[in-house]
Amino acid sequence: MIRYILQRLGESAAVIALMSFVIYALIGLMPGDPIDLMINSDPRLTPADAARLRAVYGLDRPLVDRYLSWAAAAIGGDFGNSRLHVRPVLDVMPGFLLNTVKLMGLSFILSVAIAIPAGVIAARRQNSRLDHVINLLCFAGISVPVFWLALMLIILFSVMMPILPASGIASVGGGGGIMDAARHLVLPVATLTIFSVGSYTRFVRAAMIEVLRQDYIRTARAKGAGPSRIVWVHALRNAMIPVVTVIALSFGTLFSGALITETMFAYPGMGKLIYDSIMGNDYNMALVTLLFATAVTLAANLLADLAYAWLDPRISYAAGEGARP
Amino acid sequence: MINAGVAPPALEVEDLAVVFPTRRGDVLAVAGVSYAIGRGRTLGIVGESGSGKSMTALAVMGLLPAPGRMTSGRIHVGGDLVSGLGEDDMTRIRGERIGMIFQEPMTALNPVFSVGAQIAEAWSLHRKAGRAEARDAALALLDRVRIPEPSRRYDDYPHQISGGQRQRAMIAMALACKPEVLIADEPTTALDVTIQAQIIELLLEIQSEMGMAIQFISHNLGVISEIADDVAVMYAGRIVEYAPSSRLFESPRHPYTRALIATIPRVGAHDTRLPAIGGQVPHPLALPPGCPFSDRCPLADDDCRKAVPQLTTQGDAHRVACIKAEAT
Amino acid sequence: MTAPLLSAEGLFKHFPLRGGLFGRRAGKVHALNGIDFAIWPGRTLALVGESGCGKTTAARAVAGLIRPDAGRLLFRGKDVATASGNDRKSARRAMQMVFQDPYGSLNPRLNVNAIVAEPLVIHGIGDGAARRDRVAEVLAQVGIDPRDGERYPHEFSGGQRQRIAIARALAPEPELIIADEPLSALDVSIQSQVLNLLKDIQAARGLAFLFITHDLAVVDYFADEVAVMYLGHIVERAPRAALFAAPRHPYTRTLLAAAPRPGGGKRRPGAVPAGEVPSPIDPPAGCPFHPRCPRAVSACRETMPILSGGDHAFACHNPEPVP
Repeated sequence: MIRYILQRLGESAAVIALMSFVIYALIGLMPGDPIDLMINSDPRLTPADAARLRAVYGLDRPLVDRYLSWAAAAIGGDFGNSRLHVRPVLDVMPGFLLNTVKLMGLSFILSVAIAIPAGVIAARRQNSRLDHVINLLCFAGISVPVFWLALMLIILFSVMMPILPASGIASVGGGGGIMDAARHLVLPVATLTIFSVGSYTRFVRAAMIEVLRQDYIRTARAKGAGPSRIVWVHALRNAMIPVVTVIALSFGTLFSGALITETMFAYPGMGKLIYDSIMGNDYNMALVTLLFATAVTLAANLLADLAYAWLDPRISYAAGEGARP
Repeated sequence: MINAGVAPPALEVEDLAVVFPTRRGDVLAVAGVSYAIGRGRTLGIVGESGSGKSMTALAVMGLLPAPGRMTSGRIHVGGDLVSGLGEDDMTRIRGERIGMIFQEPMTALNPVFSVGAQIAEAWSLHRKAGRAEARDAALALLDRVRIPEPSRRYDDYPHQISGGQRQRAMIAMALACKPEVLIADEPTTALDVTIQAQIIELLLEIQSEMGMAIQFISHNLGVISEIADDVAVMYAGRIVEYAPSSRLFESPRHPYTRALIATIPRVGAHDTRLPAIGGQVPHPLALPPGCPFSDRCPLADDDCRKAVPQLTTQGDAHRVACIKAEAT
Repeated sequence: MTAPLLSAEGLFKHFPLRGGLFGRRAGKVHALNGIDFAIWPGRTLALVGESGCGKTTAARAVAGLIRPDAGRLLFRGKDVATASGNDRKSARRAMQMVFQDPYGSLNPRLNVNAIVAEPLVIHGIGDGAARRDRVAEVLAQVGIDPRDGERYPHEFSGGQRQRIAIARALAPEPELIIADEPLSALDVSIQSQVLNLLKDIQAARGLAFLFITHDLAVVDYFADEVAVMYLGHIVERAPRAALFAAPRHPYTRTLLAAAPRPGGGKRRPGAVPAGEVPSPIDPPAGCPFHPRCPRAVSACRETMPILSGGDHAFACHNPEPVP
């Protein structure tokens, strides 16, 4: 098992290395570079000054050379400075990361906490009125664009009924404490939750319907297990096996949802950091944040595979080892 | 429970009918089926696919798949009426007073729980006792169904043991609470012949010890013959012949039963030609008028197509639903 | 006796077992451990045994669906694997297969005419009109109305589908039909119809059969020669009458004792030894049957007995006495 995890981590490292080059190259291909921005902000710069600055920053060298020197420094732990924040990238990131973890973590927990019971209830009463209502809400959540949803929530709860703040993570003037922080989280978390809960509920419902028609469910009934025991003990664990995979694979979608949500609410998280660094030609920051997003997605997939093995005794990742947990 | 001298049969089914509504009309899957099984006795129910034998069993368990429903019938277990009970009461009876085993032991066991835990659950669902006691009970049951090294097998998952052992585990589960009735729906069909023989042997042995009544369903007359005291032959949802096993095999009276017995190839019949039943089992929505076997029966005439013949006794325990039976 | 139509010499097949996610070889399934048999023109050889004995692998090797690791298949004396292109094609055409499951073995998107004509197309036999005539002819032979040729498999019952599968096998005028459990998926009353049909076809056209089954009663009814298989070995091989009159291998005797007999009364305890077929991934040393065998002696645990004894051959250190 440990061997399997190590092997997967090795594979992930290779993917990240490859991705670092791809992202580096893509950023290099973007129109404009930091010198252009400097020219725009300071019209006195001559083309000769620009060429000199490009040489100073190494921007006149071929892309591969630039990548290799970046990679050499990165392996040594130096990911460079952020142009916009004028601090080392690794010093800037943690604060933003923590905010995103709060946003995504809360809405993920909330989504799952809603999706499991809602999906199970819909599956148990397939084609009932309740099932139809749940389905309708799911599709509404899936179809509504995130930015529109965020706007609607802002209009409703910050403009028409000004009960919740529309942006940031703390009130101007500070001193709001934990309640103030929580109030700032409500609308972003609600947006992201509504965005993801529909598809999760659909996954749970579909998996549950499939499991409830299996032979072993009939066996459980034949031995005298009651309806709620059938659903929550015999069926749920089997249904979670495919659900865990699908949810982990949709992690990237959640992340991109978070990116839009953070931008809409001016919420200082990873999404906003990525967005600002790309728009502001902050190469080093864009590169590291995008790589970090890649790493998180890979980690989510690894965790899903491990959860899969833990839930399903038929799956064993270790050759020769029994599938006993 | 001893009331007034004669003990009631372990299982008694009267005039059972099961209907499946479909878009093209109501399918009468089981039509007016009645039988009784005494304590320690085995009724074999034999029939081809679509004969209604499995639906009869599921109706007794109260586990008819939707949209099937019982439209008539009374079911008694040990003299107590169980048909028409609510889901809560039926849940208490399943596993406690009636156990059931199925054809595919692989799919009938839950893949994510250990075999031992599934047996322990069957026991503890009906007993007020702790985990340790349930585990001990499950270990004893594993041993009883002759699974070697019970304490090691307890933690095995269904995919880790053989098909024969899975069916043994199913038997342990169904018998965990010593039910009065065991319903076995084609329990050996998915197994190899030597394992089939072992399972039949095991069921007979446990029956002689626990005294439960067995309703054993199979399409295989040979298997039925090896376990049953009485045999009911089903065709198109009805019992067409019902007799003690030896009587049925020695002197079958219904033309369908006779054809069924004659068509089975048996060791020592190399140079004979198998008598085959012509045609095929009729579609439940396109049954011939009158006797459902009349379109395949060599003896059928216009009288047979007038009304469905009733199962009638001919002065002994041998009952047959055929107006030509005496003439044969 | 004439020369055999088909003979198999020392067929070996081990399937690798992939373990883990990276496809490392975690072991192998010993499906066939060197088996020999022969089928004569117009006669039936039955391969009988329980699951995991290798009978289906043997049938697939004969049909050319899998390539054995070692051993030779001789069709009319010529090695099928090394034969010239023409010889190999004619050998393939002469051996046709009927599968167990008439639901899965017929392409649901083709109509019956197209299904039955397929082997004719594959082997380039006849032109359009000739193929149509041939299809109608074989359909009539198996008892399917040729006018139903435009219909699709799902419109037929299981027994009719198996007849269609038989018609497909008959279409290119084969000399050998390989039938893998052709009755198992059918209802009891349909099994005898199909069995009679196969017997009629054999009598009418002098076809040879390789008949794979687990049912000894069907073997006794249909076969001329019988080979009993256990864990990839042929443990007994004999003419039908000799095998049923005096089974010499204890496994054959066990199979006979296990076969249920209608009207034979309740099963008597002890007729079948305890234990199950061991895993073909990790077969026991010596004779594969020794862990269950009531007659096992010490030699059985050490060396695999060799199949010997001429016409009635068996592989046993301590065979059943001749009654």
